[in-house]
Amino acid sequence: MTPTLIQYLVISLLQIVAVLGFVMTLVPLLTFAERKVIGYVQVRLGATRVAGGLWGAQRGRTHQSRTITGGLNGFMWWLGKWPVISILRGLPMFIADALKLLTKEDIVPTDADKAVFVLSPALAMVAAFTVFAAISFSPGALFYFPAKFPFLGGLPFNGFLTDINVGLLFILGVASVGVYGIVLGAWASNSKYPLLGGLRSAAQIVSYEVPLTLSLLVPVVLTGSLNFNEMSTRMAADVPVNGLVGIGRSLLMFVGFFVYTTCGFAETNRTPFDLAEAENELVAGFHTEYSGMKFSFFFLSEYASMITVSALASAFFLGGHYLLPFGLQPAWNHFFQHSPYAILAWTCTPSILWFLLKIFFLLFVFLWVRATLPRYRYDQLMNVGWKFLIPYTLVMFVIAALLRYAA
Amino acid sequence: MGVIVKKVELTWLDRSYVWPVFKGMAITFRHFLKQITTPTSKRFTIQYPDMKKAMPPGYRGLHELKRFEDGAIKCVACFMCQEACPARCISIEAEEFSELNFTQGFEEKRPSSFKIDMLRCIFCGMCEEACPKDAIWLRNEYELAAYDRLSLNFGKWDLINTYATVDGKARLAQSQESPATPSRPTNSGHQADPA
Repeated sequence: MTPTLIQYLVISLLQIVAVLGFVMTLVPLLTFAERKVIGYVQVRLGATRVAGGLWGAQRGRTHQSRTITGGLNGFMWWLGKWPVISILRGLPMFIADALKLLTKEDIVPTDADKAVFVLSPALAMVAAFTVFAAISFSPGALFYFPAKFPFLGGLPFNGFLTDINVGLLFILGVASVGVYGIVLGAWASNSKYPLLGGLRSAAQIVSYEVPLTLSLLVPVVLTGSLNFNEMSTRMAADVPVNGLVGIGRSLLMFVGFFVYTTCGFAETNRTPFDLAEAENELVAGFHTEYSGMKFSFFFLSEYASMITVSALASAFFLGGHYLLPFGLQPAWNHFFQHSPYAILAWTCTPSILWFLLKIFFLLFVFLWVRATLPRYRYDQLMNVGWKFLIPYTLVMFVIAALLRYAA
Repeated sequence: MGVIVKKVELTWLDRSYVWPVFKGMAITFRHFLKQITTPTSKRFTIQYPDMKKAMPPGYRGLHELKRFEDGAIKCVACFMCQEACPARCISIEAEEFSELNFTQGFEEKRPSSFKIDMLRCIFCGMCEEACPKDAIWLRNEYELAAYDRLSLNFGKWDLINTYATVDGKARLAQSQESPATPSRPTNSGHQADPA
């Protein structure tokens, strides 16, 4: 049945709330995960308790249950006795972090260009969040409203907001608007370190956009689609795996994945390419003069774009809504599609679960890399971008076109 | 004379920078797995207010002024520790007393006040070495913090009474069979039976 206009609008609104809610929950969780994962990699503990006395003063041992935070801390102390789940200690910290950012004083420097100074964090934030309009989290409907549901009975609730056929172009276009937020914010601060950081960031993002897009062209050429849902479907079903071509395709996508991830790190200004906020040289880079909610807008947009990059990588290289990455799914399907075991047959079907698992894994990789690799020098960054990644991606693009021709 | 520094020749694999990056990532991932599968009590981090490090036997923390079993202070106010102290944080005032009895000890001199300024003390242990009566020990207490300077000026009763447990040091416990200082002076005319 086709929905009426009002029904359509209501469902769209619900979907927007769901997607934004997902992202807005994931971002603070990601900041918490960053502290914990980096802590564990460096054989520390990360955050283990929430500070202070919420509803009442707290003194002495930090896990006395006289206050709310004390009770939480007592629970987390108990949690620390168990090996694996003890990583969840300090989880309430993400709420505390958000509250802290919300209640911080908002300082605007006297000589700053006020209008631009206020506008630019919003610009970065809007660009980072608009992207999610075109990302498809689940293929088709996530669930159908039950028939007795008031007003919306029998209608599908989709796992995506819009299913546009040029989804990739839309995402790349909107995501690159985000750099304006950074550059304008840096310039409007009227201070030398933010300006330098912003210029670095602009140069970096502009130069890495080329290999990023070129590496994304590899799966696009191989499948012949720019649409999220179609991409993973064709990767899993339509493109035949006939001998050498299939192996070549998988190898190419394997290499392309690493090239794309490297460019993605540079695009999101993450370590090892976070030269825009190189503390030892530039104080904090482009957001030196920002504080309070404006700073957290930049912060949120950085983490949101991490989620975007991970979503793109999992949709275009890691098989999207299907289980296996790099176009290996057809072989899997060939053996298990008609398997008598329901769970094996189920692994051949698309699901939101695989997609989310891949996103979470890639987000973990972001933190893992940050805990491992030191920052590159600026000339090294530019060398890698222009002298290596762009030629490599061009060669890969040509090979992809040849494979497409051969298939 | 120069030293020939051997130049490390990188293999093509190392020069690609891709393989070393993966090796490094594997190392950090091993650390992550090891840390996540270890229970907190076995991790390196000691979560201070809730867990405390057991100090080694020879640790030099807060001083204790020792007493005899009957409660009399061992210190005879000879000023050896005050002279030995490089930080000059000990100040002793001696007093004479003539009631040589069971509870007051059998020496004719004792400190009327024995102050150690913990803000000056460097915990070098020289006072402990200088003491002829083994009356001052540096023990394992290290939480010496206060809200004002005055409360870190420890007096005689602080130094006598801070430690609840009797002993601290292994090397002294071993030498109890032949103590350097007898627990009760033998050359005194007042041989009292403790019982």
